Amino acid sequence: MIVPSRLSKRVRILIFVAALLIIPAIFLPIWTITLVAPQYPQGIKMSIYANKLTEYNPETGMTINTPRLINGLNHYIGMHEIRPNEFKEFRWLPYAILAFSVLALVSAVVGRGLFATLGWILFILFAVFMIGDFYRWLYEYGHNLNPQAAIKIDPYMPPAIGWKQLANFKVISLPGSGSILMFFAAVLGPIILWLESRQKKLS
Amino acid sequence: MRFISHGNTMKFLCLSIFVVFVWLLFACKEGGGQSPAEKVYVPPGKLDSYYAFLSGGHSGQVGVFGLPSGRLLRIIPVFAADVAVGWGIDEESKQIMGDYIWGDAHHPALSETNGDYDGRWLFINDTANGRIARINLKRFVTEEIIQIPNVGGNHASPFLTPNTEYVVGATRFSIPVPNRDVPVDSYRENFNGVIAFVSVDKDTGHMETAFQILMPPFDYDLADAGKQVSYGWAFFSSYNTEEAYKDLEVEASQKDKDFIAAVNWKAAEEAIKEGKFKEINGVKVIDPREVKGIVYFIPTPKSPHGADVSPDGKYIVGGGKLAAVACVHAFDNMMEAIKKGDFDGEVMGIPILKYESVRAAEVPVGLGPLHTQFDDQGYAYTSLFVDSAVAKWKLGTWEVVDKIPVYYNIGHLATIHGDTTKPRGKFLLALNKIAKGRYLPVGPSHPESAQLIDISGKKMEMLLDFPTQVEPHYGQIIDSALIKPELIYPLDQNNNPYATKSADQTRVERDGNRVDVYMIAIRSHFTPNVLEFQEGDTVYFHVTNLEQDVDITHGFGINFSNVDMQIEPGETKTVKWGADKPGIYPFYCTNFCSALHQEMQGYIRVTAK
Repeated sequence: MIVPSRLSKRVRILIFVAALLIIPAIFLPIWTITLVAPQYPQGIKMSIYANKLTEYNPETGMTINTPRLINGLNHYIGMHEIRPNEFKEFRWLPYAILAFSVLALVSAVVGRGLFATLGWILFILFAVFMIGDFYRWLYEYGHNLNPQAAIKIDPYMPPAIGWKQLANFKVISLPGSGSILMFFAAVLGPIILWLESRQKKLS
Repeated sequence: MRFISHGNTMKFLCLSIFVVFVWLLFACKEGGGQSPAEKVYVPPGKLDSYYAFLSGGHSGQVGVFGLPSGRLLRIIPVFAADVAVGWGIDEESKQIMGDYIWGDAHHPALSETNGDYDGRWLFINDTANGRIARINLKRFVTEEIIQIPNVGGNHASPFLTPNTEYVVGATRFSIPVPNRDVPVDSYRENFNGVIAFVSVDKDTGHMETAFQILMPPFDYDLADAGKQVSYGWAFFSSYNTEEAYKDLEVEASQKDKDFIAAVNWKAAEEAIKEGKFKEINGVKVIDPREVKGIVYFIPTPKSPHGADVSPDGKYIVGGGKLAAVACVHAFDNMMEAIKKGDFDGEVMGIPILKYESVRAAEVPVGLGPLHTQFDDQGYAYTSLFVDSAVAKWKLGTWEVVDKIPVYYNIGHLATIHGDTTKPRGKFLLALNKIAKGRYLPVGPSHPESAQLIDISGKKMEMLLDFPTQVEPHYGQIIDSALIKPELIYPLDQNNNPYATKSADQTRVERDGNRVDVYMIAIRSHFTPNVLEFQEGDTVYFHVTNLEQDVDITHGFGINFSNVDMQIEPGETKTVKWGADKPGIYPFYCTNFCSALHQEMQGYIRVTAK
């Protein structure tokens, strides 16, 4: 597949759409981790945003900015307390997302194939880096356990995606609406390439 | 020739049996379909449809039950201490309870807006010590108790007005007003009844004695506020119009008719505005000998208990407990009689209306009619103490259509929203005084009893017996959708000056002999948990429960003391403890909270001076 140097109007509109799809990730949850247990049948839901964490308890309908309940439960197994101010990512992640949206926007305006392709590759690398970062945090929390904890468990890897049973808790980890939209933006890249190559064959 | 062959006979028989079987199936279905068990069964995990608030009588408490299951959900402590939650032990509840350690909680009354329950507050009177309490139904906690001056034995209370403008109080045991030392046999000259109106702040619920009316020394029993057409009036039943003070059993049962006092509280408000009152014990009191047009007496047979206003406000039903009829007065007749001056003498300046002019009907309900409630189909239900039964009768036609026995000696009854302008029908709760033989025996003191009756059909159907706490004098039943209690207290809205919102703010402050401990409780520890005081210190423990999770209540109990209290998630409570004797005093969480609840403890050391 050869990337055409000048992008068609249709493709530029698609890149513009990608730019729009990225933007909401600044405000929408990127990842959600839900803890379900017999005494929490509706689950306690932690949502990770670009700049904050929230914990939602469907029983009270209350949403708070520190995972108070989850920390309370985790302390039995000696898990390090989840403190939002310990995540440096929250400081720059919104700007990174904004930057990628702007990059897509510029690609759409400039309309150069190489520029757009490079932008897309950068975006994918960024996504891979963020997933890696998420894995690292999960590993840290699952392995950095206080040896003095009341209940001793073997270090474990919390699920990054999917679900895992841990004692009485089922931990369900799923992408949030923000990252689903970013996923669609990323998928637009190959679609564009396919569309362009077909266009070329036809002409 | 045979008309029917052997085979055909069998076919015919089978067909007939089948037809009868199908008919039976449908016939059963028409009969309501559900068995009594199905009507009251609430499966595990499902919630009841109604809250029933039943007074706890001389236990001083209020019982909260779920209906139709009859399950006891909560006892709300009001006039008496409850060591389980710390009511009467922690500083705030001690202050609300005041100096009395008991009360006689008789009549719960749910707050109303436009004549229907609004689910905000529950009021309840104390017959013993002349008080009214207000329970906040966001928290299910007593928030305020006020003393009503001049009222001896506050029985006809709180029976509030349709927009909770006022809760009322009235004398059961007349006393000198103001109270003073006089010979008891000067009863007629020196004793008085009082009808009291207590205003309720429509935002905060705060109660204040607004005004009172000085009354003859009768025993005022029950009350109901006028509604719809009779809005602006309130009706109080009375007995002992004989003014006896010795053997009431005989002496107070001589007259054929006693009175329902009709009070025009709108006119009373005007009189107060115009300054037509005297002050007694700091209360504005209207004397009917001097101010006319406020109170009228309606003769009612015989020693009436209930004075219950129909949902449309047109009728006042008097339950003459020594009569065999429920006496129905028409509000229109009353107004007409007042206009025409159709009086039959007066007592203490209060005109007595002509019985025949006001009465609309005498309904032959049975023996010992006490109290009447209503449904949504135009029927009234009257409890019959002597008959041990409930009579169902139609308003307007005055026809008794059904009667059902109850076990035994029913006092009050309650239907769903049964004393509002919008009764909901469906169920009736009989509140019985005697329950002998209905439950497993537990010694000579037998449980009190409630019985749930289905009133949705033509015939009443007995569904369920369940025991209640001490004596339920009256109940209020409300659609559960109207009550939305807090599940936790949000910590960020905790404005208690003694709150400690995180472990790093915990501290001990000393000021002379007074020591303030700012403590937190969270699964599964207290901070601080090792404390030292000196003999003679007075210690105030301010404990904040940092939990924000539902149903994670912590307790705080100190060994070898009278200190125990319960602190709800996000709440701060203060309790006082005297470091009176050197030694070691363990303290611990008394309300099971977690897998490590048993480890939630601490030590207090008291050193000698």
